[in-house]
Amino acid sequence: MILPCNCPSCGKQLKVKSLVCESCSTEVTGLYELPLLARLSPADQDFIIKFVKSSGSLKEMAKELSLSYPTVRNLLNNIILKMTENEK
Amino acid sequence: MKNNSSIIRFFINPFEKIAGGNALFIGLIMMAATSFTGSIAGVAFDGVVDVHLYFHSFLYGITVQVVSWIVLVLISWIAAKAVRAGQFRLVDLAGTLAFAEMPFFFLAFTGFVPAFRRIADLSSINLSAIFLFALVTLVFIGLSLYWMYRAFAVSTNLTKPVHIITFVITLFIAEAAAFGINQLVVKEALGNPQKEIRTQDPLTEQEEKALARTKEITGFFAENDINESITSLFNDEMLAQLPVKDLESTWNGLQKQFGRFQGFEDDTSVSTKGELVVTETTAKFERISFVLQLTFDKNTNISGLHVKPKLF
Repeated sequence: MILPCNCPSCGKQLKVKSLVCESCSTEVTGLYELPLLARLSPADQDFIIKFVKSSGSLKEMAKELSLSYPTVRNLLNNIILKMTENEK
Repeated sequence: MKNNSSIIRFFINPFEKIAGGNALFIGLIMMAATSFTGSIAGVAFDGVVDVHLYFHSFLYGITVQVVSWIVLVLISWIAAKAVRAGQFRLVDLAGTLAFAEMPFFFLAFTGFVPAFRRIADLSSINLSAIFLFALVTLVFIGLSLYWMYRAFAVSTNLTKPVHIITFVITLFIAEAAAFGINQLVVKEALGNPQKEIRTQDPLTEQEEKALARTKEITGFFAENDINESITSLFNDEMLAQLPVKDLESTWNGLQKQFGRFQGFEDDTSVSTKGELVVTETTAKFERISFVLQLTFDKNTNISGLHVKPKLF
């Protein structure tokens, strides 16, 4: 199940209100910011996972995704920009 | 269905899939093929998005095309740095811009179409041929221009709408620079490519005689020897309008205004217009070059003499 990042009603960023332990049923409630990576779209998160698995090699990524090197680099640059904006 | 959408996606943005060394390799091969075809068909790509119809050597064709591409890459690189693009590889920019010239290969074949050749020779004014040639040229140059923009955008990641303006300005500057270098440097180094006659068909007897007469006359002008030897080649109407004294006075007047006559270029072209044969030769003066146009009647006598400034 994919973690939703944005409100389906108004589109604003969601925050975490409750976490549950499946082992002992402890529930932790509060109001927590989503981790930086979790705030990215599923496609961007998937890209980052593949990037890490490729040991940070854009050339490897390009081969795996069947895209050109500058296209992959541009995707990475765009994710970096989004993360920078989210950090603010 | 999947294949069709892949082909469409490729045309919309080929550089999503291909860039860097691969694009450069393919681009350079296609440039060579374009220049080769163009040298046979008489189609030259002597600017960034320029296409002209004249016969030339393969060496000249490939040189002007490569020079134009290098200038475009350099100016694009400078422009991208000027608008603070992030890190990008020169090989991606060079490769994708080389690949983007691929549509010119198909344009090179237009020189084989007789109707299009006649537009260049000015031996007939066929509006349908002109319209069709303009349309074909627009399609392929349009595609190439679009791919050049995609090449610039993908290689430098300058994809905001304002960067279209950056690209357009880059294109204008590159076109002017490439054209200037090709006209002033390449032509000087390799010689004027338009030495050959601009018609694909073999010369008629009348055209051969006209060329011989032209050589005779330009010889007299080159020696500043304006006398009846020239006007003896005029027909009666021409002689009545331009006797020797007036011809001498006109020639001296040109030198007074535009500097000393420096010689004729070895670029005489010939074309037939009905019963008349027209030759054109470039005459260089100190401050300007003129085209000396001689019109010969069916008896190979001169029925017209015009001098017009040479624009290119």
